[in-house]
Order: sequence, then C-alpha cells, then structure tokens
Amino acid sequence: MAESLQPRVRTRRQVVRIVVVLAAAVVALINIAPVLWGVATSVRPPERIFAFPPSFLVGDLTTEHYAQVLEGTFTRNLANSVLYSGVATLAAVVLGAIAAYAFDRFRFPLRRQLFGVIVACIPLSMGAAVLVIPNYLYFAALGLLDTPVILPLLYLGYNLPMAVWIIKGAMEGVPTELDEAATLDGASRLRTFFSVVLPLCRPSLGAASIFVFIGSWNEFVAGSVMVNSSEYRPVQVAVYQFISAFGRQWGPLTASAVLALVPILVLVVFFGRYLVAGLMRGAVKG
Amino acid sequence: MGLVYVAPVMLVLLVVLILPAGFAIYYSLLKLQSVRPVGFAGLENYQRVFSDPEMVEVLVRTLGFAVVTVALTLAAALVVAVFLDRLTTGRATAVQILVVLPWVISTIVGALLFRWFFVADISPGVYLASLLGLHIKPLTDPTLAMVTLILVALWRTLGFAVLILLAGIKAIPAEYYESATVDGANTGQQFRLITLPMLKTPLVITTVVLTMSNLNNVEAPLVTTGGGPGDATQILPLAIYQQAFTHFDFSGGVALASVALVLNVGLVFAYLRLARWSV
Repeated sequence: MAESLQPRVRTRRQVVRIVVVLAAAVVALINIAPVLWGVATSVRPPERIFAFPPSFLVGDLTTEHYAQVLEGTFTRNLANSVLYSGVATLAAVVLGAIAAYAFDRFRFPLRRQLFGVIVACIPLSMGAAVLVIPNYLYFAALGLLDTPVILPLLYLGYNLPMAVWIIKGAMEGVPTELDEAATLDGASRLRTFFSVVLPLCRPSLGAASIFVFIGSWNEFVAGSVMVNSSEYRPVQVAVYQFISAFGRQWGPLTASAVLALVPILVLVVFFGRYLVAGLMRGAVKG
Repeated sequence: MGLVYVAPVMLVLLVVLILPAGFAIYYSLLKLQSVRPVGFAGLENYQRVFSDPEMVEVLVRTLGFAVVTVALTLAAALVVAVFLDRLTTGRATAVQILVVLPWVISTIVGALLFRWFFVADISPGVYLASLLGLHIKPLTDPTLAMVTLILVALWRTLGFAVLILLAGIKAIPAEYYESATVDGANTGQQFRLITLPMLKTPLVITTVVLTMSNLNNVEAPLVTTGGGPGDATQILPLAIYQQAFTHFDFSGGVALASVALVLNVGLVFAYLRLARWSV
C-alpha cells in the first residue's frame, strides 16, 4: 500500500512544484513587465512606439529620446536628487546610530516615551500630503522655501524614524558583555562604539541606508512644492513635469522614467537582500 | 547623558513631523491670506470645505477606494506569500527582490510605467484585452478609471505586503504543521487553523500600513488618472494637494489636511499598539 502510494505522491509534489514556480513567474512578470516595456519604449523610434498592435520584437534602436531628455536641466535634477538623498542617508545613519546606541545602552529619563515617539513617527511620516501644507506654511515664514537645504532636511526627517528603529534592533542583538570587555581592555566609550558595536551592526546600517536613500530618492510631494527653481528641483518632480510637457510623447517620457529608475535598480540589485532582510526582520519583531 | 545623544534626532523629528502636525490643526482655525495668518476663523474653513457637496463625495470615494484596495492587496499578498514560502531558499531572495520591485520604484515612475503598459490606448494591456474581446479605454470610463487606480495601488504595495506576511509565515514553527499532518489535517485545514491565526499580528500591521499609505497617496491618482474623468478618481490626498498647491487655497487645504491628520493619527495609534515597541 505504502509503496503503491509513493509514485502518486511524488507526481503530486511535482505538480505542486510546477504550479508554485509558475505562479511566482506570473507575479514576477506582472511586476517587471511595465519596467521592461518602459526600457524598450525609451530606445525605440517614435513610429514603432505608436504602432498598434504593439510589437514585442527588437527592431531599430535609437538614443534620440535620451538626448532630448538630457537637453534641459534633467542632469542637474538627477544630480540634485543624488545629493539630497546622499546627504539625508549619511545624516540619518550617523544620527540614527548614535541615538540607537543611546536608546539601547544608556538609561535616561523619558527614554521609553521618546522611543515611542520615534516609532510613532514611522507611520506619521507616510502622511506627506497632510504634513506638507503646515511645513510649507512655516518654512515660508522662515524663508527656507526654494533653497537647497529644505529638501535634504525634510527627507532626513521623513526617514530618520525608520533608520533609528532598524539600527536599534540590531544593537539589541550585540551582547553588552562585548562593551564591558572593551572597557576592561581600556577602550573609551567612543572607541567601543566605533570598533566593537558598529562593525557588528553593519547589515542593519546597510538596510537603514538603503531605506533612507530610496525613500528620499522617490519622494515627490514635498519636492514638488518646497522648491520652485529648476536648479533645486529633484528628479521625481522633473519626471512629473515631463508628463505635462511631453504629453503623449512616450519616448522621452519613458526615457526620463528610466533615468530616474536606474540608481534605484542598481541599489536593489546589489543591496536588495539587505532591504528584504530589514523589512522581514521588522515584520517578525512586529 | 543619553538625552544628549538622542537630542539631534528628536529635534529633526520635532521640526519636520511633530510640529507640522500641531500646526496643521492650529492653522486650520486661522484666516489665511495666501500663506500668512490674518486673523481667527474658528471653524469657518471646515464649514466652507465641507458644505461643498463634492467634498463629501470625495470622502466617501476615498473610503471606498481604501477599503477595496487594502482588502484586495491583503488577499493577493496572502496567496503570493503562501506560494513563495514553498520556494527553495536558493531562489527565494531573487524572487523576493522581484516581488518587492514596484514598491521601491517611486510612485511617479511606477504609475507612469503602469499606465503605459496596462491602460494607455495603445498599451500591451489594452491590446491583450482586445484579443480577449474586451475593447476598453480604461481612462475615459469613470468605473474603469477607479479600477485602474485601485490596480495601480495594488501593484505598488503588493510586494511590501507579501514580504511582511512571508516573514510572518516563516516565523511559524514547522512542528505545528508536522503534528497537524500526523493528525490528518489537509493543506486547507492547516492554512485555516494554523497559518491564518498565527498571522494575525502581521496581517493587522500590514492593514494599518497599507491603509495609511493609500490614504496618503497623491502621486498615483495624479499620474494615472489626474482625478478624472470628471471627478471619478478624485480622492482625499489628491484633493488636499490640489486645494493648496493648484488652487492656492491654503486655508481650505489645511482644513482638509487636519481631517486627514486625525485619520492618520488614529492609524498611528493602532500601529503603536501593535508594534509593541520595547526599550
């Protein structure tokens, strides 16, 4: 009986396996197809872009759309976003690591409450549309609108709570005995922090960095209202303005979208596992 | 001593997140001339905005949009997560990165590419639908435009929900399933009696985050449908954004924003209770 069941169980397992792989393939395809289609459109001559039914074959290729997009201030806007996101990331990781260390290793008044405030700020920072109006009103009063400091500051604020939370989670996992051993060996608090604790938190520092960078790079609402002049404009706003400028010229539109996407794709290809690990760890901790 | 080290972080959060939340409510009670307060208005701004019957429609539509989107995303994410859990670990990371891809793409670019692939008049999506006998122009039909907006939101956040649920599934001890198998429970029963109850917290957290994210999504309606045709896809975040920065009605915008803020803060407290933050 048991022996006669074996082959049937095996074929059933194989069918399940095939279904699982197929389903994963379909999800992956739905996720990635619009991106691939955008890349294809960006290098096609206009007459092929507007062919209907759409052609899925590789044909003539052109770089004219990229040339058209790069004519204006788009390079500047890309550079702005690299700068804004880079500054926000660096500041978030440095400030975040210091604060996380203090929250995890020191005892001080209001510690629990302050950390609660930080956790509460994680979802609060998703409400950009709500916060951007009061932000706009009082940064207008401070005269900070349309300056190069406003966006990095906002991006830092929006992403800092997540960075602190991720890094603190990692520091909880570093045994305090290591700190004590370092102190016994004569290391200062600062030395312990830099040479013992931080290196052990490297994956989390990576996860926090990639979160902050992607969050800053992708932000649109604040970027579209806080700065006006093209020399301070971030890349997402530049892409959005192409939508009104180019209308239905999908060649330059997709070219600008691809240019805005490349840094994120590079990051995700090389550091995606940090992102996934960070997200999933956060979820388990709940 | 510790306070000194956390002070910079708290200061940034105070300036960027906490004060604006308070200011939103405060400003909503003032008379504003452009961006300058010129007097006290009481509840006038609220009355003006909400006596507009269109705004009531916007609120109802926003609620419907959020409920349907979150329910669909959760259902789809649960299915995908259960499937992904069965993949071998070697391929798992690669697949996880593919799954989460639309979530790391900015909503502006994502909505643009989604529109061009699935709903533009000459897109592969519309072409495939026509092969199936459906001749549709999604962006000119009010219902289909809303369906499109929901699908964009689903596409954008599915990967995030999948990862959170997948982490939850992986945290369930394998022994539970083993003993259930020994007791003769089939796959469906195991899902209903073990997986679902054990996923309660991740499911609720995902619900809160998804609701938050969809209630605050300006970019997706802005790029995909522009709120149209007519007002068919005008939802609260877009209405707030346009009130302030297209019509330059800051007092109306800030009154709307305060209402949205109350919704947000409610969700934040739900999140806090669930996140069981520990120090």
